[in-house]
Amino acid sequence: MEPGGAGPRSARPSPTALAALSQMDLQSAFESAATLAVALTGSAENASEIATAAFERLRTEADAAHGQIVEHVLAVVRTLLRESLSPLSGPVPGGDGEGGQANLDLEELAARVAGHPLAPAVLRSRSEGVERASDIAQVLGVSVDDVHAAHKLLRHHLRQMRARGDEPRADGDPESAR
Amino acid sequence: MSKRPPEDVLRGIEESASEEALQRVLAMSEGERRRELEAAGVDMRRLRAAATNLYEDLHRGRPGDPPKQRGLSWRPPRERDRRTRWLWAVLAIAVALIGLVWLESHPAPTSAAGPATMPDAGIE
Repeated sequence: MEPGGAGPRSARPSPTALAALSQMDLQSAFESAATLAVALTGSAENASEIATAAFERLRTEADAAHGQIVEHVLAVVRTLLRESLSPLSGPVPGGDGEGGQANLDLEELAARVAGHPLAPAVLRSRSEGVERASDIAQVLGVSVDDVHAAHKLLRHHLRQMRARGDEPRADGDPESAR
Repeated sequence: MSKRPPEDVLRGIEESASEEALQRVLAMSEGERRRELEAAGVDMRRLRAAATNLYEDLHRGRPGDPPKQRGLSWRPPRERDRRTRWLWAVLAIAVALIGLVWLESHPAPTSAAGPATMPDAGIE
């Protein structure tokens, strides 16, 4: 499964695969989707609707009937939230196609976390194409929790950089509203 | 030097939170998941009802379709009424035809003096 999307098209479950789920399995997958929705939005309010929307999107896929449905539906929840209401959906500093600016931002981020025992190595791993926390942990010989902590620090600094970049343009950017 | 474009690296860091949340949910047991949902204030009855609706939809067909695949001979009432009227009409025609055939094969008895002319009887 692709970490950022609903997985490779060939591995998506088909509507018939969804229909083949027992009621208990579907219930369980639905609860997983709702749990992720709560985790990503920080709110219980729309958990049920987001889970329903994820399954509705999944059932329109007519691809081959294999793959882990729970993983797929969670990936769809993630994608839906990224597309609509997630704070992760906004522009990334330097992510506007200006490679030079992105390079500068990456250098600034590296400088900000230089004193951390693990974050610079995590950043380096990600730059070299290792992206999953478990893979980074394996490469660096540390625990996954340590990688999560380093990610948290990197995100914190990135958010600060983005907030700074948003300051001059108070133009109702939905990202800055959250 | 980097294998990944810097834009992708930055975006990947931004999205690492949701990836971690996804992995955490995948690793949860059913009980842990329910406890987390309840602790967050999710209405579990509403959630179960939504899952049940989804399950029924998946087994009924597309949302909005009539539930014709539920194993029941459900049809819209108008169509059913129309079918009933046609059935009665066909039955009525069949009964009429059978009656005509029976009359043809069982002619009325005639007297030696000729056909009975009841209406003319007694009128001279």
